[in-house]
Amino acid sequence: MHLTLEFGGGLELLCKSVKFHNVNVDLPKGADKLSMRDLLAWVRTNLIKERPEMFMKGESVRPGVLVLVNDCDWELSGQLDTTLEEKDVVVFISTLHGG
Amino acid sequence: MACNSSTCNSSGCYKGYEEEEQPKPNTKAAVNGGNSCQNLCVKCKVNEPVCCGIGGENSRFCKDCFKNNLYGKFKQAVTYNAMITPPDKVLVAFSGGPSSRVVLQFVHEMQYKAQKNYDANKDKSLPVFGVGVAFIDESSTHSFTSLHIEKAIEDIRLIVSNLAPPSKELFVVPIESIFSSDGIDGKERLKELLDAVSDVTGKEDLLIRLRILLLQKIASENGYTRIVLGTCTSRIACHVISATVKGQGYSLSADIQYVDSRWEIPVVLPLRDCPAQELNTLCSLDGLKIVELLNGPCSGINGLVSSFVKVLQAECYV
Repeated sequence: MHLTLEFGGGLELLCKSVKFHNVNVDLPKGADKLSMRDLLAWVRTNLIKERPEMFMKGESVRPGVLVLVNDCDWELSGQLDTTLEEKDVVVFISTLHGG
Repeated sequence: MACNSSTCNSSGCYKGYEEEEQPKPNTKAAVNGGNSCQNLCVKCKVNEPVCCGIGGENSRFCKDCFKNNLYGKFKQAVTYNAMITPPDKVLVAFSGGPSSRVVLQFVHEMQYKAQKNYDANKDKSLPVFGVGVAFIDESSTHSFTSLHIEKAIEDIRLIVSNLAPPSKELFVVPIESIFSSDGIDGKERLKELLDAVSDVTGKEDLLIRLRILLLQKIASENGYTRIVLGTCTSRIACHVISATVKGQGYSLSADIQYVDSRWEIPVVLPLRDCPAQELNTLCSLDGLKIVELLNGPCSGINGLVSSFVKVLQAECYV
């Protein structure tokens, strides 16, 4: 599944300072849908090059990280259970840094 | 002086500039009788929500109501605390980050509406307040490449020049100019000063202090009457805990007021009621460009407290 991922608020530093990533994520074995839970695990393995604890805590994102799926807060679409579709845009923003 | 009356309708009163956009009725929702309250914006109860404010279940907004709610909090803080009045010249401290980007945007929108009203009014008795922007270049204390900092300054210039009319003067000031002497000597003195502090937290706090002193200097030398900071609720929360931990209880209550009058040029905090996540969401939704110059996570007390506050927030709504 082709997705566009964006990292902001300092999270890009964990992905070699690259903010935008066009990725192709395989669905997990036997599944017909891709959930945010699956995507997070994929991101941790494939995109986060250092300090994974700054991005994730357990199977979810670290507190203070805002997640928007197609400009909509993931709290409203089921958080980890949000299902993703082809060409979706997922934005991760760390709000730990002030500004 | 600013009017604090909620019913004032005089031409110069900024209360009149607040426009609540009327949402266009969605016939589908009307036909359904709006039964699915769970899936509707809590404000207009018409559109689908896209943002979650800090109140969890009770603050699911559609994009427009979310923006209006945030701007409303800003306007209320400005009006009730007489932060910006017609004869004022306000200096907005812009770090490039999301909070200061939003305060810059909101101050601009307020100024723009005031200008339109002034132009439309035959009686030009009340002037439109002036706005300047200050960016403190701290590259001498960090290890950014000069290319990196130059690009950042260029981006900031572009952002400020696009926030016109009315046009705003931009001050890009290196942190070492806090020492009255120029260039190289300033850098050396700053380095000496920072090296004299051995702990990370002490260095961070010293820099914060130097920033505000420099802003005071810029404001005072250029005739500004107010300094506007983008300090948000989250930052205030962190400050309450970190100041307590550091034994700074005496100054704490004055540190967190809407208006800090301890300085020669009063410092105002119009985003004091806006949490960081809402400001970040607004920047993302509205495409407000942010210029980020980040040195990695803070490792001292300030960084620890910031993470702690986030954990508290996350656990509140479980």
